[in-house]
Amino acid sequence: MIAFSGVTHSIEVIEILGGKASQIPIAVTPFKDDDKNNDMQLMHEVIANDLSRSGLFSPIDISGVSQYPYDERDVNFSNWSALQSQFILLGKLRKTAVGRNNLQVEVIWSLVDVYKEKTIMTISVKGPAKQYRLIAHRIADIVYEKLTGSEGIFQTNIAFVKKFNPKQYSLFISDYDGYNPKAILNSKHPIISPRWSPDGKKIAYVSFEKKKPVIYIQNIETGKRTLLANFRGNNSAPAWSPDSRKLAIVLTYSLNSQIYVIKADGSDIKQIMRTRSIKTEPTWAPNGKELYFSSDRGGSAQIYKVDMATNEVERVTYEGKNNLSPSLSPDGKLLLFLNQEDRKYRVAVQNLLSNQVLKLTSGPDDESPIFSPNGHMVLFTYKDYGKTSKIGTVSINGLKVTPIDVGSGIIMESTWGPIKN
Amino acid sequence: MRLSWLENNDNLQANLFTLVIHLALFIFMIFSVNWNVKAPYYAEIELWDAVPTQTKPKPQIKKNKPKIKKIAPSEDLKKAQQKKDADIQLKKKKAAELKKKKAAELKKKKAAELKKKKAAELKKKKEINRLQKQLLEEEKLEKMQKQLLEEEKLEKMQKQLLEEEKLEKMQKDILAQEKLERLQEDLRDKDLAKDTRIAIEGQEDLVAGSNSGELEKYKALIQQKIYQNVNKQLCGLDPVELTFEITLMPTGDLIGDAKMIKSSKIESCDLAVERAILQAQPLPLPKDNRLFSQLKKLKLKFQPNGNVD
Repeated sequence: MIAFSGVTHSIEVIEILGGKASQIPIAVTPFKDDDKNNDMQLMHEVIANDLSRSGLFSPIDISGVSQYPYDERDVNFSNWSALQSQFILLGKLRKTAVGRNNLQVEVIWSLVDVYKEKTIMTISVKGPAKQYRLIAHRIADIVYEKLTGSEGIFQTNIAFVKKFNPKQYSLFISDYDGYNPKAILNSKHPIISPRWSPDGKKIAYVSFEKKKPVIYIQNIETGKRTLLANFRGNNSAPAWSPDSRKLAIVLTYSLNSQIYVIKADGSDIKQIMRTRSIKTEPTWAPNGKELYFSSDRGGSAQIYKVDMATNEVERVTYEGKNNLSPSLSPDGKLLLFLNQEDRKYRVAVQNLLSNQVLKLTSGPDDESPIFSPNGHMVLFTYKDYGKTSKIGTVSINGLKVTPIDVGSGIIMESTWGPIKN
Repeated sequence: MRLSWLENNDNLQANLFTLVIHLALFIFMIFSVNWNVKAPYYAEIELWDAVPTQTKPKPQIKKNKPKIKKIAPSEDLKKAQQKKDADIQLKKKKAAELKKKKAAELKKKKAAELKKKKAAELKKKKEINRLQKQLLEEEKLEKMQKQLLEEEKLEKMQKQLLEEEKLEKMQKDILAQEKLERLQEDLRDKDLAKDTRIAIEGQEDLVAGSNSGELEKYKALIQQKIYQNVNKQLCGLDPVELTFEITLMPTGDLIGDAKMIKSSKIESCDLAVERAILQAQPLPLPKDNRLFSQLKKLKLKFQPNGNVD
């Protein structure tokens, strides 16, 4: 932890090895708005919730503050410093009507460094007033990138399946925080394993409408869908390649689950690895050359990786009784999976360099973990009070678990869309 | 009301029973789709080597419609019939020709009907046989599936039992471990502070009279206060190194900025470390002027993700 230099140097050296996983305290104050009764009054809350959900920020409670600053000149630095706030996000709204029923809003906002007592950035973000949440997400993304060095994901979308009753299922897409849900498919039969193509245009999913699992690809914009795989046996677990051209799928064509790779147009199918053991839940490494998958080949379910050029297989997880449902961070450095120990299924993450495992959730019935496109958060399914299936996010440092509220009902099988360009 | 007529009619009872069973099997087949996406583990089955071709799924059971030829009355039979008719004609010479003709026609008709009936019965029988075969096959498949499921269940149960045995033993360890995990950060910091203090105190005893122990003590205190604030999450996952130089007032506050000499090349990391230094103000400093002059200018080396080497 500590090492001291020799005393011979004229200038003393102190070495500080390591650090902590802490959250950046930030004050997100309401934006100045003359009209007090509108949804745009909630923008600062949307931003604070975004930053909080990431687990890297702790928005401070500002309810006791009597006068909010709208400009850097209004900031009383010693007061905010006393509130332990390292940064303040402040700003004002300017509204302009463009034609009928088309109110535009402009947010002129600043990020202020409390310690250095200076403004880091002042930016104007514009958009239709109706999309105030999106504007707020955009501001949160800019702040996030500035202070963490990583791209924010607050403007992305997620997809999930809602089960209304045993004969009514819908595949929804929504904002990443569950707002603005829109059904893109209604079915009398279960829909599972939706997976967003990395180019953002399509969603692959498994449907039981043919009395058995088959894989469809649906164009999100047009709603048009094509049957990708309807082979003998079960067709399941689609996983897009990083270039969106191919998918790894699982077929029970040969009586147990085996991994195949197929082009997105349904042509050119080939089997990966021909061994007797069950292999399922494939996922691509960002380099497009390796697949990670779960298999029972070692007796228990563990995660392995295969080099598709050489068919060489290597075991990746060792900790825990069973490890399932792998997926990789966009930089390929972290492996996300479901860890089963003591009859608890929990979301866990393994650093592939150090092989250290961190359990992010407490279980006991967590499912389908998937990374946010920046690898800082995880979307997963859990059982609310051990019963109803719900979805939520957990930050990659495990510090923040936040439910996603998409109304009542059984919510399951969620997936995260890519960052839009 | 008692269904005595049903109870007394064995045949009907048997038929009804068969019908109900078949219906139940049929319904079970239709609705017994395996919803479980997670493939059952532990099943070891031989693989087929062929690469699948994209064809429409073939039904498991071939529906070979029984090929039943409609048998036309053969020439032999016709002749025999004619012969028979002739015999009858001989025996009953006085019968009117018209009557004979009618009778013959009637008989012909009856014979044809009989044959038709027989053919239909044969067809029915074959159909029944086919259905039975199909059902048997379906039952076989069902059994196989059930077996697989049961094997899986058994496996699970066995593991659960083992787990339960282990559980009690492990629970304490796990609880302790979880607590440890939770407290690790705090403990580490506290222990560290304590250890360094003890070490420094010990050192102080050894070098009584000199002030090098005091110097090390304050360096440790400064190290501690800054370390608390380093948010290593903002420094990525790879090992990085940063160096800052600071100049202090006797109050422990910085004179001017913390000057970055070596960057981590990650802006968020550089800023996070800079904030850690600023946040640590005022830094603990000795009141002794001579000691303070040694700590007035400091070089701070950071390795937020652990040793670079």
